[in-house]
Amino acid sequence: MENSRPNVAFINLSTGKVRVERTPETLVRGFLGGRGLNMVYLTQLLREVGGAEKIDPFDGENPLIFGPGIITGTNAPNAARFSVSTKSPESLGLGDANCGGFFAPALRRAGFDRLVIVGKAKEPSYLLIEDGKISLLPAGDIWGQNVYASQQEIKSRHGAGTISAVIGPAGENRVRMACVMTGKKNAAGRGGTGAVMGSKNLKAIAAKSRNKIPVVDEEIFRRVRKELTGKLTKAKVVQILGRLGTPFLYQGSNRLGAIRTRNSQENFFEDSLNGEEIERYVDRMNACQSCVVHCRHQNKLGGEGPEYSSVGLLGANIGIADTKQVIALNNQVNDLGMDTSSVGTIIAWAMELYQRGIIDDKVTGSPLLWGDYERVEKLIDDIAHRRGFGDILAESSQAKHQFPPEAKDYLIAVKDLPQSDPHDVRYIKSFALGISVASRGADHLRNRPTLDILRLPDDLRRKVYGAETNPDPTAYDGKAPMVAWGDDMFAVGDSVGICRFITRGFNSPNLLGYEDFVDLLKYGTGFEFSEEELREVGKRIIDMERLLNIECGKTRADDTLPKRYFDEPMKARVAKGHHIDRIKFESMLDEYYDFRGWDRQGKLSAERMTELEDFLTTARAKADLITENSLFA
Amino acid sequence: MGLIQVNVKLSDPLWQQPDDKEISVVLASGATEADLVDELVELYPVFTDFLTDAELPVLAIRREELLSSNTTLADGDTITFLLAMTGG
Repeated sequence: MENSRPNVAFINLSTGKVRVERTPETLVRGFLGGRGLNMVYLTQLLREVGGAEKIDPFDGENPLIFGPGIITGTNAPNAARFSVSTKSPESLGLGDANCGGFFAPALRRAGFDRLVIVGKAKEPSYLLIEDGKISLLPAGDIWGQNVYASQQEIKSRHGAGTISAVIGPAGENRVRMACVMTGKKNAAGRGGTGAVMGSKNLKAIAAKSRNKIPVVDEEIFRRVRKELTGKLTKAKVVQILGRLGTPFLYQGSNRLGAIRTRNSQENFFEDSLNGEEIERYVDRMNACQSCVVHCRHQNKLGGEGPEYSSVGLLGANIGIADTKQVIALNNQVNDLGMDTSSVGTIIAWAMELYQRGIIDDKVTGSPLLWGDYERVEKLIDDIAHRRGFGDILAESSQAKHQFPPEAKDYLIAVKDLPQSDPHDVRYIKSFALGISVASRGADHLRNRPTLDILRLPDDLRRKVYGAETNPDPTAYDGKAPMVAWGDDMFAVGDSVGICRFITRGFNSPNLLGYEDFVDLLKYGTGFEFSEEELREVGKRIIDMERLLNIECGKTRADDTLPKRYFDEPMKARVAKGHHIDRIKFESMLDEYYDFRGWDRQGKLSAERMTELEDFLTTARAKADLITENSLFA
Repeated sequence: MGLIQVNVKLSDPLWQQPDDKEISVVLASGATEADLVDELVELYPVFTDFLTDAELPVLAIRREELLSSNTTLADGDTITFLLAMTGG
């Protein structure tokens, strides 16, 4: 069967040069698309401009890569995802964020499977990608507009069917937790990708086309799609998420005593944020392109969401118990173009510093008290516009350089990325390991072993993980295989372009796994893999990310947890007394490194390095040119 | 044979109607968590899907204790059931 290799457009906003190449087959077989291929190009390009550790994320040479999954836009179930990758201004390490919605399918329909953007436009601009052509247009009159308004303005200029990925005022002001957004709420949220886009004077990328994305064998692909859709719509997890979205997760976590509360000083909060309370403000459920779940709330306050993460981090974590206020803050943060997880974590950090007298009114400008909605609402706006104390918090974790040294002891972050989810990981030890080693920092979506809470039977765990694991969620041993399995599976899912909610291992041992990806790839792209080969792709992506982080200066010392998680036992409910034992954590980390084939410093083997260098050499070679022209023609 | 009364609380999304969120169940003395589940399924068939479906396990909590199926219950216990989903 012939295969269809994706293309990649290298765009230099400074020189105007646009070079479009066909991706070498070796790279596609090695890394698929989406997140995987992004990592290859990012690693190589950062080397070419002096090295990942040296380069400032706001330097024009820092690449900003938009990479749809290899089957994104083909109407396979939930195949709407794309990854945005760069050197993160938030963590100063690997930056990678994944997003849904309708943008990536539109980009692929418009003729491009990957955009690698370097340089800086002379003035605020946006890219228009239409039927194979890329243009750079002035955005002076859109600059300053919020996320939704700017998309509407671009659509009014170019017509119905124009879908944009944009930044809000936060990205324009290089707020380190700024996102790239599409729609009202779909966000490439983590790591400050929006700030990098703003540093390039790039307001938006707009895509428009009526073309169809070709698949290699339409008839069989349609059959596979129908079969998978049928299987997924019967799954209870999918049905629940489609009916309730994620906010219902709050109540269960709260009962366990696993909700990050007041910067994780406490571990449970009010029932006023339970899912049934959020439901009172919901109009209907929305979906991304070709989604079978439709998990996204349209709320009655004019926005979308909130997700469980936003409920926790803009609610319990900053002491706000009023449901309507939490939803309003969610809408505000989204429309300004910032990551709700980072904003909620950083404001909570600041609140605790104020509580302890480490910072005072001279720094904050006015009292910063738990649960003060009006103060938080103003502060969020100040962060997005870099005003007053907001200018300091706009630095996210990097604000630690402006605070007294003891401030860092209260920051809930790993590798300087604020923790993404509201789940306090001191109780379920595999969750703690997961966020400590996740390649982009403290993030639950890279490898979350959600099945660990299920106490599955030994034979089922063996079948899923292919290794012996420990069913006790509070144990330290036997957790490495769970986290590594999640690493690999989710890396492949992100590279294929499929949403986490239908990917095996995220809440269910069923859902789509390697065998399903094999079929989608074969009949969608012509690329044939065995299940084992696909798992190897996942491992390879994780190792490439490890290499990039090492080249950014990250070491074993960065695979750690916030000080509070080690030193302070949780105070209440089922999780009472639990914390992370430092010595046992180090053993758990050793077990993980061994399982990954890394040495005890977390470095790759010589054999793996040789293999990755071959791929990077291929990425460096200029080959398979399709077109070369100028943005300014 | 003695009897015990156990109060049951159901978290999102296990309850189907608001009245189902808190219910009382009478069991034989020495009953276990598994007995309580059986009784709930008997009394409220609408719970069957969740309480007996291996695909979507349910956790049972008593105060600060996570129960196993053979944990013995006591008169006056309040047992909270929650769906074992943590990813979102």
